[in-house]
Amino acid sequence: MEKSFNVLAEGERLAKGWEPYYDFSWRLRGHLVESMIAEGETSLPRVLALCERFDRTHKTLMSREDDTFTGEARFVPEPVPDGGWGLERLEAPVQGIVRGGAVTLPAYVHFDLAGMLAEFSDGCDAVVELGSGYGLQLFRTYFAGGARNADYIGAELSPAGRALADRLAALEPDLAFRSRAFDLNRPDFDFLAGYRRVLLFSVWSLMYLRTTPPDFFDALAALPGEVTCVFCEPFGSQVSASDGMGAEQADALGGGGLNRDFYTRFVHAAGRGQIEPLHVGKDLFSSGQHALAALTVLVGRKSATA
Amino acid sequence: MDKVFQLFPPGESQDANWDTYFELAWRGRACIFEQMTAGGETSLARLLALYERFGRRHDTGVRVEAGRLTGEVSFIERAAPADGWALERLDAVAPGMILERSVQVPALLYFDLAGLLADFADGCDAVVELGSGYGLQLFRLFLGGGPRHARYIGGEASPAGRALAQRLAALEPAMDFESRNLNLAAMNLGFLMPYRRILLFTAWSAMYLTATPAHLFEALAALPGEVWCVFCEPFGGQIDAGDIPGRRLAEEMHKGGLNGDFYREFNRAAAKGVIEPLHVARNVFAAGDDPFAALSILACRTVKG
Repeated sequence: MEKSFNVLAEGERLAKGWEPYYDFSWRLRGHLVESMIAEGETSLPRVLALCERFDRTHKTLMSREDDTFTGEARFVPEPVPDGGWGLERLEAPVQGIVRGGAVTLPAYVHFDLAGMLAEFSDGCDAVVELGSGYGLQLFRTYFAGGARNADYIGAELSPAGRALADRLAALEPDLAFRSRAFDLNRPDFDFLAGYRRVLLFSVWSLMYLRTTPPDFFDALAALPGEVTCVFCEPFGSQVSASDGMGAEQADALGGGGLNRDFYTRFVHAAGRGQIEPLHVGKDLFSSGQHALAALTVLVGRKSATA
Repeated sequence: MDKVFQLFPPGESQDANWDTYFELAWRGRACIFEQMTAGGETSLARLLALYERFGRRHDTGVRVEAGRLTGEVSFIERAAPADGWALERLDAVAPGMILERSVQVPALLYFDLAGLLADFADGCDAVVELGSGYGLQLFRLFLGGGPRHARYIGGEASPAGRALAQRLAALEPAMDFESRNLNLAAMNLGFLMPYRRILLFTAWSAMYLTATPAHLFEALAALPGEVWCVFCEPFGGQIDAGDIPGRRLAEEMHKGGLNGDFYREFNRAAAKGVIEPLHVARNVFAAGDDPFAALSILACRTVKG
């Protein structure tokens, strides 16, 4: 069904750049979620799954006047294929990557990011996502069996992202969730000082840091508790750009004004003894050919100092 | 932590066969779920995930003495890897298959069966699993965005499986779920008469049918509503036993007294015009060397005479 929302306030204009873009996106997503809840959806896992399906089966049209976005966005359903979406997807394998190698994959094969993060959260009293958007990965981590008694903290710059995450978390009263304003360019981890054992992760968010703040790992190292870091980002080309996907990804990161130095900072922090590198999984998985879809996982641990 | 349950009264035992084995196994699993809910878990999605993780970290045993079940079900915890479970799993690969090609498959890769079935369930007013066990796939399908107003029906022979499914469904009051006593070998599909459009599926259950019931597809086609079927089974050896994985799977199925004729029946029904085959995908995905893990998918819809 077609849905249409007016996202901007009277006289408001959408500014250029990643930050306004994402804030706008989360506002738009917020309208979609509210419409689902109004239709009777009460289950958070279902709402998350339905949003994902909605994205796949609709295109978004933004109204413009004089090349300026008016604030009206329309979600228009794609025509349903003859045999339905199930058959369509089943019959359309994609070219992807598994552990660095090119593989033809069914569209239904995925990497279990939430399951992985849930296992890393074992025994943690805080689970934190940097650049958490509307909380999708935190919620998925919780439903994948993440630590039950931990605080789940969505650290996010966008007010609309934070508001939507709080709204969604309210659907799951047993989840101890809170959003926190957080600027990846000026990392301040003081809010984690009270925790004994923290899982801190990112999922395709640090890639938007043009340069990694030089004090990123210093700030983490200053925390008293143990911190396990799991960075899930398209950083394979930073680990090594010598293979086929590496050069293409480096170009995509460089051309988009995206991050190119995180892995160097990670290695320096390890050299200074601030974190113990536990795993570097380069180009573990990609479903599709886009260079920025290739997932690399960096795992490091900072020991407790208190 | 190891967990051991004695589920028969003292001195009682039962003949060991597939039916009694599964019944006892479901009862054992129900004890684990009960312990989890007693520990404060209230989310169905979390319980399914936690149980799946429990299964990976424990070896399940059903004690058999002189060909008889003693009633003891044990879950023995595996030794934790030195670097912890999370790192172990991130690193782990096993020989497997993706679209019939033998590859090393990372432990964290999975085939999203619930997503596939949810896509097929679009517009259905009934979603039925034959041999649904404790309802895992039906619950995942619903939580994965299956139709909100459909009736979800778990057809299962095991009373313990049905009871556990009903108990779990109660955690998700918005889901219209029903456990139904259904013997795959002698199915009565009359309960599907009221529905307009049905998704009927199996996931590693038709494999236990020694012989596919005669006229299964005719019975489906005789229903007034349209029936879409998705059979997710290790039937790669039935589709083609010409390569090594196919031959091995066919041999293992035969050795285990498992199904050997489902694909033949599917083709017979198609030739007779009772069903329209939509998709046959052989050895789509397997993580691990267990031949029965190799997923093949047969999709069809019924044709009205």
